[in-house]
Amino acid sequence: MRGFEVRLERLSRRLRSSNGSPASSTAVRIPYVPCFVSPSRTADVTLAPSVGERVINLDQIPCGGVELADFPQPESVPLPMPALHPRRDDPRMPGSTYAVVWREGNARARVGKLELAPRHLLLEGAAPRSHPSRRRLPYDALVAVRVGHGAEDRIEGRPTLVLERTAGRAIRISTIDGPGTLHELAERVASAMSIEQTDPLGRSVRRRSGERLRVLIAGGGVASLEAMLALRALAEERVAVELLAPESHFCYRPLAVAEPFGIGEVHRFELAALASAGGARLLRGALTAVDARRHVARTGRGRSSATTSC
Amino acid sequence: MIACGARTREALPGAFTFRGSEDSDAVRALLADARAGRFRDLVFALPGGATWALPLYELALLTAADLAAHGATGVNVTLATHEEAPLALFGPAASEAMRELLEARGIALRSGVYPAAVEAGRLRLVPEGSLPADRVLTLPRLKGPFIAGVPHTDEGFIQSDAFGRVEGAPDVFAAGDVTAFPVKQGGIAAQQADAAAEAIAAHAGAAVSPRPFRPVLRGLLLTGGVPRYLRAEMGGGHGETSTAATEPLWWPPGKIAGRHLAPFLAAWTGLAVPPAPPLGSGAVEVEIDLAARESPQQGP
Repeated sequence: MRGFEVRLERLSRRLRSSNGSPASSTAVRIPYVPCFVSPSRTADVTLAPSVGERVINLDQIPCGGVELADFPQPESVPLPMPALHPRRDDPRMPGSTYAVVWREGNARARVGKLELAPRHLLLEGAAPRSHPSRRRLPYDALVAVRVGHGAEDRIEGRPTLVLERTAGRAIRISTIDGPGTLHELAERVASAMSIEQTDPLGRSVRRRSGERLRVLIAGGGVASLEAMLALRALAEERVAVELLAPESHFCYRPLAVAEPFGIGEVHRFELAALASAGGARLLRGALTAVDARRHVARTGRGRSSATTSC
Repeated sequence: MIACGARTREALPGAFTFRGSEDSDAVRALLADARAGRFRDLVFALPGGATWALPLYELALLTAADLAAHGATGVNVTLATHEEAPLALFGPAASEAMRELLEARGIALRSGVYPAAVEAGRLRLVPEGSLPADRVLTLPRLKGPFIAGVPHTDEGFIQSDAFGRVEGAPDVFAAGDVTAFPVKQGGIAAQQADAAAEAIAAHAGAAVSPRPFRPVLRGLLLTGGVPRYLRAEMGGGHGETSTAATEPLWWPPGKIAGRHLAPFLAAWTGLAVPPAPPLGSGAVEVEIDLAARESPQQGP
């Protein structure tokens, strides 16, 4: 077998040959080890000769057979999850069909049927002297559902179910069977929206088109930076993160014990740079109060950043 | 998300409280006095209410190593703690390793006692007894920031659930030292932040199944020699998960084991990665020319 046999040993950023015979030429740069080698063992990996680059990205080295080292992660436990199979009262139960008249925006009304499917509702119908059409409306594309009694909402004098959408004009639906059926339909659509737009914790999921969830993280320490990075990794562009901190720097404080002995020092990082790298915006200030109902955080001057010590 | 940490306060009247870098000069002065033989009895005291004891053990071990290196043999070093065993939070394996380290450094251990106050050259202990103590070094207690509008404990800490959600405050999360979770440590704070971030990400529509906070302690103990890596899961049991090793038990092997923050900082500066250990007898560092495709195989 051709190639170099190298060893990643003791998690160091070094490449070593197994027999100590040095090869010539320039160094290999290892920017980061993406596979976590068990620290208690060495892992032998082989660089095939086809890898002809001067700089190795270790992503190119297969990690198969390499034990994963311990890593900070909570263990997975069962969570309350939405039912995988529809219950009898699940509004998403298929096969629920209503005779309706519906209208999109100010367009002509169409007569047809509405079917409640597991993840969307389906409208099929035709206006007089026109071709039949179908509209498929995913529940997570609906913003609101209400029963409209106003003149602008009514179809042929009957109240309607008004579906507000994330994009596009509202759709108004009246039932032929009367107002009782309309309210039943309203409840079922609203319930379907609630389930479809709910996360595993039972919380409403915000999915409006283009809307980013604004997250304010108060603090400039380990927890806040970890949260910032985790949110960016998990939610990506779904969140807009702001970091609120009175300090100008993040201090790697655990090494403070080493300073008096000259074997280490507390490193200071500019919070603005860390926030920028983490895709967040840094706000200066100290959190003093929260009005959860109004979604308002109040700030004060807090500790002076100039005098805050690491 | 509220993650604005906790505030420090003095925990032991008459003792010197080590809070961080701001006290480095004072510790240096203490070391100089010890080397010069200006006092005889030095006590490192863990007060009641301080749950994260590791820095105190580090200060004791590093001090003893420093004094030994300077030939200062006339100072009696003692560690007094309310724990039943040293670093008991990490479980029996860590406690045993810690006992050996303390003994090797000549540090006397007084466990199961609460340091109460420094009075007339002695450290008074509760429930009974005292220790000769010319100098006493201790750690601070923490108190919460008392954020208005958020339910908090009498000490100002915020109660949150396993997903970081603050009780009675919709859409408000908390993580880290500001929470009422009793262990105040960077790695724990990061784990809380991860749980909260997963819950928030799911709320934002990300395809994430939030996992609750399940605390795992990871501590890198500076000893003045080979560091120790300590690990324990805090899920109860009888210490089966307690581990103490001289090899890293997590990656990057830094002081703060955060899933996202640790590799981020390691990539940023490399500071979290300690110097490579001495080369083993069977390994030699080499440079490899990857352009030399036809090089002969390197192998035994």
